[in-house]
Amino acid sequence: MTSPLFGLLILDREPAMFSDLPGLAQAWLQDAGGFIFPGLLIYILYSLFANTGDRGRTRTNLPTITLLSAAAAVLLYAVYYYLALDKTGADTLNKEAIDPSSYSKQVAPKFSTESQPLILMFAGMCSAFAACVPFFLGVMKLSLRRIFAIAKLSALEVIRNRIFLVLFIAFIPVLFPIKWFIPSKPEAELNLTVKVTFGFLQVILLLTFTLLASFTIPNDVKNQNIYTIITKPVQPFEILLGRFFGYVALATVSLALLIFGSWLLIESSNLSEEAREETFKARVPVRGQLRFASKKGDNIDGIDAGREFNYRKYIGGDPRSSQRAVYMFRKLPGSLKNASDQAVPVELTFDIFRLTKGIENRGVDVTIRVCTWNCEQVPPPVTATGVGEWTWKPTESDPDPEQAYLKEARRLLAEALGGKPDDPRYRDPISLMTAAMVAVQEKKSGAPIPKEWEVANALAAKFGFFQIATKEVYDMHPERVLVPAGLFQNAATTPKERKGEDGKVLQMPPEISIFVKCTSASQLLGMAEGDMYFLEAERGFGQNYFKAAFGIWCRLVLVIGLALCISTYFAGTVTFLGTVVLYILGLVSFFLLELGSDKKSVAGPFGSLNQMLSGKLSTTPDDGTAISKAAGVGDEGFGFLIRRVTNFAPDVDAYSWTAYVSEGFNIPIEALAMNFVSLAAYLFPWFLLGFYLMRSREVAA
Amino acid sequence: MTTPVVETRNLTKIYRDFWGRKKKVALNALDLTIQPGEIFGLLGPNGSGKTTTIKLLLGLLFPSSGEGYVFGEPASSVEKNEKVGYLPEESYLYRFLNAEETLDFYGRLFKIPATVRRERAARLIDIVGLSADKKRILREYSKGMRQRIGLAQALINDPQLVILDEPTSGLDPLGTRWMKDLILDLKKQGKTVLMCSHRLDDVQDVCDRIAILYNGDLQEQGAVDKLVEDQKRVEVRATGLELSEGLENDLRAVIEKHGGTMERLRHPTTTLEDLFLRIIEESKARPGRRYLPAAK
Repeated sequence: MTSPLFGLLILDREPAMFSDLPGLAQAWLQDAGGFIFPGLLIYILYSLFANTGDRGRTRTNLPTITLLSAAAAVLLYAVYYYLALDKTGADTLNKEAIDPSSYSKQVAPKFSTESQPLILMFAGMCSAFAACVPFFLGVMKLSLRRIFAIAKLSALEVIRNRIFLVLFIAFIPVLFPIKWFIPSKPEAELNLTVKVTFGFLQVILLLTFTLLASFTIPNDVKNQNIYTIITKPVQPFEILLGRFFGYVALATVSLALLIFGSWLLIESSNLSEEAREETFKARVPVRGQLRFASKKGDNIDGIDAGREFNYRKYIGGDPRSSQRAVYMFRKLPGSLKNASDQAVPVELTFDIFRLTKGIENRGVDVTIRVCTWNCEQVPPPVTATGVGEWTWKPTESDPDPEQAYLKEARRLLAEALGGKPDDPRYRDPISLMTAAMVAVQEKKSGAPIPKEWEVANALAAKFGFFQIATKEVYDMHPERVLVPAGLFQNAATTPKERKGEDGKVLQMPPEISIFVKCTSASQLLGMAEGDMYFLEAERGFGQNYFKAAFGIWCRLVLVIGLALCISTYFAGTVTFLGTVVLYILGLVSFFLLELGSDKKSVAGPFGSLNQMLSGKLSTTPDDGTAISKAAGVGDEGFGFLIRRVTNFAPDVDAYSWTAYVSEGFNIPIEALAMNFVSLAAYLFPWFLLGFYLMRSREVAA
Repeated sequence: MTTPVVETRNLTKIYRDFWGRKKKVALNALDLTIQPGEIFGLLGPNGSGKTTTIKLLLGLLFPSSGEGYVFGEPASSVEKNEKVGYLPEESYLYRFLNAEETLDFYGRLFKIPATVRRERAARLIDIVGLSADKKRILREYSKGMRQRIGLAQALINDPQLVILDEPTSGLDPLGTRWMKDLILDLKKQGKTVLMCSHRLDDVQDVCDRIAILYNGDLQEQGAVDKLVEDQKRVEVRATGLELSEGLENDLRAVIEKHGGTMERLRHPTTTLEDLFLRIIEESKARPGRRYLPAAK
């Protein structure tokens, strides 16, 4: 995830939630099982031909169930490869992990019931089970007492060697306000402080604990301290677990102290009002999906303005334009119905791409129309010229619901404010209600709600419609508007099931849709899915700050676990380098997935080499020669390897919540729980490997 | 017939290179048996396979062929270590811990109740003479002190088999005498001791049986007394006699009458170690005592 200077969260992907568990579990079984399988075969062959090659195991003394599961895995993999060659039952649901052109570029895998992914999953399950049987039998012999003793030893070692001092000395620079060193705008002050503090803490802690974990077991072997432990009734895996829990406990304490200290500094610092307003909070957004529509269709491509990163798509600005950006909200939390002041905030940050200079110091104007599923909007016909306005879809009971809305609006305004409905004051009720919205935004807490706003709520509850006549927006500047809570009361009533002409049931429309129109001529208005959302709540900055620390904790546990497991076989330096390489691969895994994607617009390395040697441009279409076909096959192989490397690398980016805190967005607890699950799932095969390496290692060799 | 504490059958260890080619035969088909309650010595020059044998029995190495059993369980079994104590040649203890913490840590690795563990640790620290230094970290200890705490950790679980690798290495004569007395005391408690050493006099003083290894092969094995006995000579010791020419002649006549030849008649000698220890004990009893050459 990245973020620009202002309060905005650009998401390359949504964080994983509980609903993603089935798909993630299937992918994990496929990937982890696939990596475990060759190791399992090697281990079985080793056990067959080595003499008492590992502790407590004599030749062919593997559990029968392990051998049977391994045989089942072999059979299932053979079936899978047959199906793959026959191109039968391929996974159509999860074709690509990355779609560079979509807003949420990387989506969590979905559970597929096609035969290939299912068989691959069961094969992975069998190989994982086969490898886990001796593991679980070994785990049953473990002693918490011994693990605790070794964990305590690890902690004492770090403390007595004064490594904590280094950590706290390294924290000293963070004690000083960041703005002394890096000038920034007032509203960006907290943003910068959080990024620098988290970045600094992570570098120091990750480096320290990676070094500790990389060298501990190799040093024990080198100094032969491990002799006095192995010659006790200690299972070798207990050494690994003891070290792991010892360092994790230390990392937790270090992180807690440093995070608490840094939080206290932030809380007691003299933050500017702009920074408090912008980011000293934790917004709980309710995001929807974005599509673009016009008279040419209700799901068109947005305009590509040619920016380097096509994160946003654009709509053309003009009072007569039929182009709309439509934000669709299919499921909304019930709490929005009872929002305070009967107003639900909508926050938006749009990009402006100017085709003409426009008026200096002036933004562009937008119209925002918010409709529930009871108030569908239809674009003008394709043949319409000079007419860009969308209209209300007629209903069974009302052929012209828009007029009914305006008539009712005038009546209610007259009732509330006095006078008659045909009073000139009430000629444009939408503008009146827009002004009321502004008044609600600017009023003090506890002050009475303007009567026009109560009318807007009543109308919204009855018709499911609200429009902001005009709103000026600036380039990448966060704005906030309000919509009546009555809309959500209207959306709560489930509409009737609709059937198409062929009798099939049609998909239900979204509960609420927001139609955005740019009315400033010759300007392009750009938006992405994350650029507009309902604000469900605003929580405290502090609790969000500590939640983000959990992400750092996950990264610490990740590097500690990785380093310890790798160090069961390799020397300290190799372990450290290996852990660092894996971590960096994890950081760039999104880029690697794009590199390995079939949806790239340019050729891969072999295709590019072919183009260079034959003097062609990168945009030259494929000429279909034997060489270019061979290069294509090479590129496919390259893509396959790259995707396997990303399977191997940890998903480090998933644990990064810095952008959420620095931009003032709430971190969902569910996402943190999924962080923990994915961390455990990633580390488990490594610990499995560590288990086997420890017990088959001759420490005195 | 009691189960041997240690039994090896054809125990072999061959070090190979990455390609599986034989590099070194560290131990070749060793057949060894150690009975309960005896002190067994492993002798041999450097590289003979003594430490390899110990490491194979402790599970620090895996055999290339053959089998090793300790208390009837395979040598690679972890559970058998509950009854085994090991003092390595060098002190491989954690130098950032003090004596109490060291024994507490190793004690926790056994199934010893906490109160028993604490009492035993305190008693062992007392036995090894480190009560005054129990709060100092091991980094500050001398070699002899580290050897003592090493022995204490080997005994923390009250083992039935104690394996000592060069237990007197680096110790002064007092320390050596203390260690040997301790080993004999362990035998009195019914424990079995397996020790390797280069110091042949130490082995002769304490061991019941020995095995001599050379180049990985077992050269000799048996009871110490029997092995060192010189069958070709007869030794007589007597008290209450003064050395004189007449005594010598009479004894020569008796020996020659029985067909022997008298080689030597003199006062027997004590060992240098005994002399040293006696002088040190006398010095402790009489502070200020100094050597004075005999008056001419």
